[in-house]
Amino acid sequence: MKENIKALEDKIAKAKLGGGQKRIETQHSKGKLTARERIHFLLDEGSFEELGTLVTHRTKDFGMGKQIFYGDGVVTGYGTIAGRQVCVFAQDFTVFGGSLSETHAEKICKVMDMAMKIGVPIIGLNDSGGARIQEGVRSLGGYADIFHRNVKASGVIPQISAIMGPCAGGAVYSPAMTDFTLMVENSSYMFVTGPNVVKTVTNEAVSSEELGGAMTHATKSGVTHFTAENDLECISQIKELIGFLPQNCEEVPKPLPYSLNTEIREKLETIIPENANQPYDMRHIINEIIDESPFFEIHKHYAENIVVGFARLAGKSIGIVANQPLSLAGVLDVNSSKKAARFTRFCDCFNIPLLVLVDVPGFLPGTDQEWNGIITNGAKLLYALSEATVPKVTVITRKAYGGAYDVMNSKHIGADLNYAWPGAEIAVMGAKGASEIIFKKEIDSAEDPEAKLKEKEEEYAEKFANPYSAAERGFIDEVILPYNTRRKLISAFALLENKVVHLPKKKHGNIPL
Amino acid sequence: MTNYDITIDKEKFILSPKDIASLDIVPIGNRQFHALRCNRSYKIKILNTDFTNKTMTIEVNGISYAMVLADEYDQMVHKMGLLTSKTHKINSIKAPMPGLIIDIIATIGQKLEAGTPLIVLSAMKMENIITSHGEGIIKSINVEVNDAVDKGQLIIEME
Amino acid sequence: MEIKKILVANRGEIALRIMRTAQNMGIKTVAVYSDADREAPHVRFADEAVHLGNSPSSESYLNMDKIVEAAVQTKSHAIHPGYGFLSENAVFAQLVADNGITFIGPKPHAIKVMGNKLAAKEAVKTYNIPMVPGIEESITDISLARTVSEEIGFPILIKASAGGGGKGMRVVQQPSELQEQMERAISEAKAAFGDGSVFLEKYIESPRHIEIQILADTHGHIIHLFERECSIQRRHQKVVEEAPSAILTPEIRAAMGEAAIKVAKACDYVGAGTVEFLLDSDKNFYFLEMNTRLQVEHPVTELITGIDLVEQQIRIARNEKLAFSQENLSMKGHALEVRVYAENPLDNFLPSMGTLETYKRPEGKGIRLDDGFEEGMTIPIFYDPMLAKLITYGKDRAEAIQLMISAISEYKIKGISTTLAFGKFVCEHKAFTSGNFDTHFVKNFYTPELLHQQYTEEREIAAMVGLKLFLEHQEQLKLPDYKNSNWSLKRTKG
Repeated sequence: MKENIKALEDKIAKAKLGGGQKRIETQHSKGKLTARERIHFLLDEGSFEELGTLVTHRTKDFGMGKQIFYGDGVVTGYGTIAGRQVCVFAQDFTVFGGSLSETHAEKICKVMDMAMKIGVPIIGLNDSGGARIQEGVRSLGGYADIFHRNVKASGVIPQISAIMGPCAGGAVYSPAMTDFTLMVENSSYMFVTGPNVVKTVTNEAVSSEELGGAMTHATKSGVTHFTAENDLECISQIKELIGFLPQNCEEVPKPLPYSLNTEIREKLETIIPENANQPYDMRHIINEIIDESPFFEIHKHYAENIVVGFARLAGKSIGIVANQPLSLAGVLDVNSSKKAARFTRFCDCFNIPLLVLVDVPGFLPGTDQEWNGIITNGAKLLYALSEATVPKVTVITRKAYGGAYDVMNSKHIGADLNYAWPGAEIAVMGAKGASEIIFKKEIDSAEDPEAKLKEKEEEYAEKFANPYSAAERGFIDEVILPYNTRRKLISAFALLENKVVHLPKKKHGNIPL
Repeated sequence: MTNYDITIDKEKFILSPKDIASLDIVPIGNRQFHALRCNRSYKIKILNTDFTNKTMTIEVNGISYAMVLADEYDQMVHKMGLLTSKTHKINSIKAPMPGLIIDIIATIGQKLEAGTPLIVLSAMKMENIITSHGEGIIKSINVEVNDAVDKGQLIIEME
Repeated sequence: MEIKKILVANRGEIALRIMRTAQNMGIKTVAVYSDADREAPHVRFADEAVHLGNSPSSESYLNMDKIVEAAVQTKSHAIHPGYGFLSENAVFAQLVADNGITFIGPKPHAIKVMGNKLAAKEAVKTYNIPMVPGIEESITDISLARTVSEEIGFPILIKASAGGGGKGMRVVQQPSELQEQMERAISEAKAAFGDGSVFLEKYIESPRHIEIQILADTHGHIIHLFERECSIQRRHQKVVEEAPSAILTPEIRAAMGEAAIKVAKACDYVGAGTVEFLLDSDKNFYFLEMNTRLQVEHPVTELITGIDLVEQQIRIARNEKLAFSQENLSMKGHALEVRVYAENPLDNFLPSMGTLETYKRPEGKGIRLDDGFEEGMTIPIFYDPMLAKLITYGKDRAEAIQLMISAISEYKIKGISTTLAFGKFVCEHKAFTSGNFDTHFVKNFYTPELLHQQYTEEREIAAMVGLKLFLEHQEQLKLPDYKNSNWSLKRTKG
C-alpha cells in the first residue's frame, strides 16, 4: 500500500506543477498568477476539491504522444466562496499555453454539468492561447460543447468569466454568453481575429491591447463589465459580485443582517442643483439611498450616461438602473439601452429586485444614433423592463420627458411602485421646446418674440413641468420628500418581497436583438 | 515545509508547522490554553479569530495581541507587487458627445489625474463637465471657447 | 463658616474624587462641564451641574467669570479648584473671594508669591531654608553671570523665571559654554513665556525630586504629612510617585518637614500645599518651589497616613482647627502611584485618541484607582491626556511594587494606547526596585525598544498559537450551507 500511496503522491505533485517550474516563473514574471494560485485566492481556504487532476490528452499526432501533462491545461473542481458552493475551472497557461483540446473541454463540460445538476454558480478563469491546433476539429468540437452548455445554463445558474490572459478566436464566445465578464488590464485581451490577420485583411495596424485589451472592451465595445489592475483585484471583484447573486434561478440572493434606524437621509435634499441645466452625479443619490456598503457598479466605463450595478438596501441585494445626468445629460442612446437592458434581464433571471432612478431628457438625436438603430436598441430596454417580473420600483428625481418616460420603468409597463420628487418634471418635453411648438403663432406675432417665448415657457413650466399631472392620474403613486426616499424604498421592497406575476405562456419572447 | 509569516505590532515571525508541533500547550477549556516554554508559563486566551481574512487576536498573560497571517501564496503575491496599485496613463481626450465648448478649465502643462475637470461642453441643453479618465500631462488643447465639436473629436493631447 | 455646597471647578478624575469626599461629608456638589464632557462621570455624580460652554479649556474650565457665575447661580458656598486649570490663579482666587464665595485653598497673596520662583525664594530667605546655590535675581548680563557661576561652581543650570516645563532650561558644564547657552536660554524663555528673564542655579547631578505635603489651618497650625518621591519623570512630567521615599532617613525627613513648614509660614499659607525639594547624591536638600494646591499624587500620602486630604481642605476652609498635631502623625506601609496617560509609549508618547472599547478596572485589597472614565467613552482631545491614577498600598515597598505590577496586568484598556506598559517597565526595573534612581531614570534606562522587547516572548507565543489554530481550522472539514436550498424542491419536475 505504501508504494501505491507514494506513486499517487508523486503524480499529484507533478500535476500541481502544471507545465513545470520554469513556465510558472514565466507566468509570474508577467505579473500573472498560475491557475492553481488563482483558485487558491478565489475559494475559501482549503475548500477546493479538484476533479480530473490526472486527466491527460489522447492525441498521438504531431508528436503529442510524447508530451503528456496531467490536467491537460485546465484545473477544474468545486469549492466554496464565503461558505457558498461554487464550481470553477481555471485554464493553466503553463500547459500547452492553456490551449483547448478535446479532453480539456471535457473537463470543463463535466464541471459545468455538475453545476447544473446541483444548481450552483460556475466561474471560469480564462487564460488560453486558443484552440490546440494539433487537435484540429476535435478542439472546435470541444468549444462548441462548452458553448451549448453556456446556453443551457444561461438564466439557470450565474455564469462568470474572468479573462486573465489571452482569449481569442472562437474561445471568446463562451464568455460573451456568460452573465458577467471581467478582464485584467495589460495581461488579457479578447478578439475574434488577432492583429496579424487584421493587418493583412483590412490593412489596419493595431496592437493587441488596442484591438481587444481590457480598457478597449470596457469603454468601446462593452464586452467586458469590469477591469482589474491585476489577478488579485479581479478575483476580489468576482467574490464581491457573487455576494449579490443567488446560487441559482430558484433562489433569492441571501440578505445581509441589518438593523433599521430612522433611515432619513437629509443629504438627498441638496444633491440636485438649483439650475435645471446643471448636471449632478446620480451616484451621489445612489450612495445616499443604499446601505453603507458601497455601490457595486457594473460596466462603469461603458455608456456612462446610464449607471447599473448592485447594492444593498437594508441588507437586501438589489439591482439599480439609473440615468446619469453627468454624461450626455443622461439621455438614452444605443449603448446605454443595451447596457441597461442586459442588466435588467440578468436581474430578472435571478430574482434580484430592480430600483430604477430616472432623470432623462429623452433619446439622443442624430444620424449616428438613428442609423445605428436607436429604434430597436432603445426598444431593448423598454422590452426588458416590461418583461421583468421581479419587484420593480421607480423614483423620478428630475426630468422624465417623452418616450424616455415610458421606457424608464413607468407604471404602465409594469412597475410596482412609482415615486417622484417634488422637483420632478414629467412631461412630453422640456418647457422651452413645448412652448415653441404650441405657442408658435403667438410668439411669431409678438412684438418681442424672445420675451413672449419666455413668458409662454414659464406658463407651460408652471402647468406641466412638475409631477402633478402624472400624480393626478395615478401614474405616480406618491410624490415623496427626497430625504424620505430611503425609508420609502426599504418599505417598498419589503412589501414586494413575495411578489408573484406570470407572463402569458410562451416558448420565449422575441426581444428586438 | 511551508512557512507562514505572522505579523504582530509590526514585528514579523516566520513559523512553520514544525515549530508549532514542538510547542508544549494544553487546552484548559473555554477557548483557553496553557503553554510552557523554557520553563516560562503562559496563560493564553483566544479572543477573536477570522480565518477567512487570516487575522486573530490572542491574549497571552493578560495582554492581547492582534495578528495577521500570511501563507506562502500571500508572501509570493506580496513579492510580485500585486498588492500595490498602478497608475493609469492616457494619451488623449476626445469629445464624448457632439456639442459646444463653453469653457476651458484645463491649461497646457497641467498634470492630470482621473477626475480632473477639463472642459465644459454644452449638449442637450446641459452643461457637461468633461473630466480626465486617467493620468498624464497636457501637451496641447485643440479647441477654443465657442467651437462646435463632434463626438470623438480630439480635444486634448497628452504628453 | 458653613459649607453646605461646593462647586468643583475641574473635571475628570479629580473632580470625581473631590465630590466623593464632599458627599461623604454630607456636602452637596455642583459640577461644571463643557460640551465634550456632557456624559462624563463627574457630571452625573454631582447633585447639580452647570454647562460652561464650548469644549476648549479657554471657553470652559479656564473661564473664570463663567465659573463664578455658576457658583453664584447655584448658591454654592465654596469652590474647589482641583489641580491645574485655575487652581494656582491668584486672580481667580480673588474673584471668588470678591463674590462672597469661599475659595478652598490659600489666600490670593500666597498663590501669587509662590507662583513666581524668584519671588518664592525671596519670601523664604529669612527662614534659612536651604536653597540651591544660585543668583536670586534674573540676569541678562554675561559678565555678572560669569562671576556668579564661578561662585556657585559648575555645572550650573539656567532657568526661566517665568515658567517651567523645561523651557528655557539649560545645563552649562563648562565656563566656555556659558555665553552661548545664556543667549539661547533667554531667547527660548522669551518665545515661550514672553519674558526672557533667567536666573542661575547650581546644577544638581543625579537629583531626586522629593516633596513634602503640608496642611495649614486658619488658627496658625501648620503640620507636614511626610514626603513623596517623584523622581520618575518624563520631560519634567511626573509618571510614578511613591510615599515614603526609599532613601530618606528619619532625620532628613524631619529636617525637610520643618523646612516645609517654614516655607508655608513664609507666605501665611492656609490649606493643603506641597513644598518641592531637590535631593542631591549626598542627601542634601534644596528648596525648589511650593505648589499652592492639591497635587495629582496626593493619594499616596493619604494611604500612608490614613488622612483624607480633601476632607482636611474643606475643614480648613470652614475655619476648623486641625484635629491632629505633628506628634499624632505617623506613616504606615508604603504607597505607589502610576499615572495612566492616553499616550503611546512606543511612539514617543504621542497622545492616543479614540474610544475606550474595553475598560476594566483592577480591584482588590490595596488597590485604589482614581479615574474619570468609563467603558465606551471617547477621550476628548481638548484636555490633559491623563486617564487615571493607579495607586497601590502594601505593608512595605516591595509589596506595593508587586501589587502595582499585578494591578497593571488586570487593568484592561482597549481602544487607545496607554502608558500602563511603561508603568510596568518602571516597576520591574532594577534601578527602581533597588531605590537607587534619580530624575534621569527615564533618560538613562528607557527606550521604546526595551518596552517592545518586554513582550517579544509573549508575542512569539501568540504567533505560534495563532498558527496552530489556523492549521487546525484548515484540517477541519467544512461544508457549505446546502440545507436551505429551493433547487431540488423546485426542479423535481425538470
